[in-house]
Amino acid sequence: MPSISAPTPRTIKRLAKDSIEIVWQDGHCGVYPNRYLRENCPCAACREGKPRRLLPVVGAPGELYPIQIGVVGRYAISIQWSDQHDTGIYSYDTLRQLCPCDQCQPPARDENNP
Amino acid sequence: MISIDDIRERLTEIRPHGARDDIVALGLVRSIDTRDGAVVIHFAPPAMAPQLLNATLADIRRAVGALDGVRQVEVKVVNNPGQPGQAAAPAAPIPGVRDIIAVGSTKGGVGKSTVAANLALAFAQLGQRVGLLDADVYGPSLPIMFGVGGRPQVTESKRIVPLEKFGLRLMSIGFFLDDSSPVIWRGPMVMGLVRQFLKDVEWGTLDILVVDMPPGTGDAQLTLVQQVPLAGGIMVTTPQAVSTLDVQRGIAMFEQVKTPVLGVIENMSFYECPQCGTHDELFGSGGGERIAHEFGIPLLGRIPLVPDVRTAGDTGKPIVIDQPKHSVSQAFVRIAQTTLETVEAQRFTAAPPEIIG
Repeated sequence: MPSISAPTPRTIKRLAKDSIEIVWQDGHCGVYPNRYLRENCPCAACREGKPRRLLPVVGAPGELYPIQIGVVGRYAISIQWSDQHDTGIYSYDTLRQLCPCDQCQPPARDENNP
Repeated sequence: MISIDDIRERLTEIRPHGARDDIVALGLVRSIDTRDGAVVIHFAPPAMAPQLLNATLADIRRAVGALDGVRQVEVKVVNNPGQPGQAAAPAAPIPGVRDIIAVGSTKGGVGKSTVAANLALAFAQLGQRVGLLDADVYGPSLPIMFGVGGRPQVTESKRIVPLEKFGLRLMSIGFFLDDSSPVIWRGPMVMGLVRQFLKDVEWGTLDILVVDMPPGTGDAQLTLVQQVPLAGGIMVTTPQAVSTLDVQRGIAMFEQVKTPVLGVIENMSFYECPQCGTHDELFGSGGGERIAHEFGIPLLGRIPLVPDVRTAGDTGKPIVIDQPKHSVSQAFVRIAQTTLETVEAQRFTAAPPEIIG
């Protein structure tokens, strides 16, 4: 059952007001800006809207923050955002794929010009 | 002078019985403090059997105490997951309930409710405090199988009091319906109902809550796995290929939501003739074994098709209570024993994340 042994967060920590830090069971650590997570909300309303119907995110980056983070079953967290959006269920697999660190999302490289 | 790293290093040698990894790798060691040879360790174990917890604590004390320069070891057990004052988690475990086990099938008519009822009674025979939630909102069968009925009482704080029979706490939508009324539920209603049965029922202190799920992979199943962290799911199937094919879907659903499948129970495995005792494999054979082999999921047991099982269920006295010495009853007790061992063994592998700040 490979998916069950897939990464699970050890701690999920709200940093200041503008990002969330996730430390995984395997020791990997990623810092997710709030806006980035909110823009990648996996809920149906955000994913299936045309083109992408996000609730307007107003103000400075510091003004978007999670009001509440909760655990969903054994596989995901839910985030209630300060813009009142709360239907997104972020599975651990999704979060790991979204990890914005350089190791997980290597910067685009030009092969002819390393 | 003893260093924290030395202590942590020593703690990596401790792997509780059945755990996948040592206590440091599993993130159970929250902090280590040392002053003048007195060591204080904050340990956050998952919910676990008291004997196992005590054994682990003793291991920690022994291992750290044996280090040079350590005069005294104190292990403080802290809550896991989450401490009071943190954001309330929607999937918080039900207070007082240690393990929730879902019994499911992807196809109707495989005897899932009979299995769930007898398994719950078998857990009770093993000394567990057990609740049985009949979440089969479309075809509740618990009232007939246990011969109970009537509206459950509601406390002043709007909590539903489960009915009790044979030492089990019981809840079913059937308690709230007239016998003849059809059960027509829209998805959101099913989800609301399942949520209410998990959160608003006064379950009290339970070791095991067995949840008899409706067949399929729909709203009720999804709600269940999202609302509470399940210890695991058990799939019930019959031996024929068409049924086992469906079980694969059920297994895939559990895997998607990272809920371990504890095993497969093959029901109506063979017909045992009450007169001559010969076996006849009415539905073919080996379906459960095939699944077990293909997915690496244990076959927890095979329950024969025996008229006594049906009669017992229909008269409100499941066979484990009605005829405890019956070979079927003993098979259920063996399955319950294996299930408890499996749950215990995987308890460490999936501590939920701690949410900070």
